[in-house]
Amino acid sequence: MNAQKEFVTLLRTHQNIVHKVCNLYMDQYKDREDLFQEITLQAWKAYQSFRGDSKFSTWLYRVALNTAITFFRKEKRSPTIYTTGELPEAVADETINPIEAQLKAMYTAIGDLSKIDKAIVMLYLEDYAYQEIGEMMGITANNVAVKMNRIKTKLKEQTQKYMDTV
Amino acid sequence: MDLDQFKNELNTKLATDHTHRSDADFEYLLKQKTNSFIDKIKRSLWFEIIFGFIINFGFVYAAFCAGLHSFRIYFGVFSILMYLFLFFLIYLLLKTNKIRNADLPVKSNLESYIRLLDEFIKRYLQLTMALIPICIIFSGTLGYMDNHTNQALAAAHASPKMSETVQIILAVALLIIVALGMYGMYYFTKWYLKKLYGNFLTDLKACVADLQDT
Repeated sequence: MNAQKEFVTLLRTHQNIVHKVCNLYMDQYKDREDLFQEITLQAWKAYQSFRGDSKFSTWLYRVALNTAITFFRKEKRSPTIYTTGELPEAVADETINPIEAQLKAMYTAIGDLSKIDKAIVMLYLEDYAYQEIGEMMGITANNVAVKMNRIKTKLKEQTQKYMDTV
Repeated sequence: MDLDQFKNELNTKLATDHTHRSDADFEYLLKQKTNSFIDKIKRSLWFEIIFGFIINFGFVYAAFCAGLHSFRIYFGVFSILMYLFLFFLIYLLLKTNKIRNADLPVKSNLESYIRLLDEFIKRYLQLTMALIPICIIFSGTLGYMDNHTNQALAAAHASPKMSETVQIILAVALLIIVALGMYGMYYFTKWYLKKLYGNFLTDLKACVADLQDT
């Protein structure tokens, strides 16, 4: 199997990672598509130096997050049509149940975080240990723990605020 | 309501809200062009290097073929300066080509991008600003020299004769215009570079600040 085929197979298997990063960092469909393409290309470029020291999924997370954080948009898009706060399957307000509303509020609050905090939350949701998150982000595990506490408090407050306005 | 409470739901939501892609889709994507800022800088550098070499052929031609001695010296010196500038652009291009950081830790990746962009903006501004006074002062000096060596120019300049006061006023006015032009050029170049990369650089620096120890 040549390198490109091997890479494509691995990427297809782990494509959820790329989709997650795109969904988290981009509000609009077109931007998500552009970012998806960019992550795929950057991952392919970096794949030549992938030695298998870490798991492919961990390596792909690092590439995807680096690309998303430094992504340079081609042009300004028209105003947001569909934001991360809007769950595609969201139902009308009168039928929404409290759990769904809370989930939507949490999703909106995560969407409002800084690029770095979003990356940390994403890795936390993936159940990576603080030590591993620190290695991927280039900071200490202690720093990750402090940041994670602050992020959780912030998300709790923001979610509550959002729920109060609904 | 806590993040941990929704951990599974959020993770599932983020992972499932998309269209599944096949091998053929990925193979198609691998044939597309990248749009990272590194590639934007590379394209910009390539354009400037090619354009610079073409323009410099004109300068070299003028240095050998211009009628006036001052023109030959001016274009000769300017083409040497342009070659230095082009070598600097090539150095930046090689440096940019070496950056393959996508799999580094986020902080190291951001820091190397910031270093590259900072250097690009700083050196670009320095070189552009250095060329302007060199051009103006050098052309003025050579023009003055030619005025004394070229009979036709000297005659045109001598008649009608201006009073000393008018000559001083004209010289001061010229100096003010040159100074204002340079001042304007400095701010224009700074504005242009900020428009191109400044906001992006600020964004990257904010990310690094966000990663500092708390």
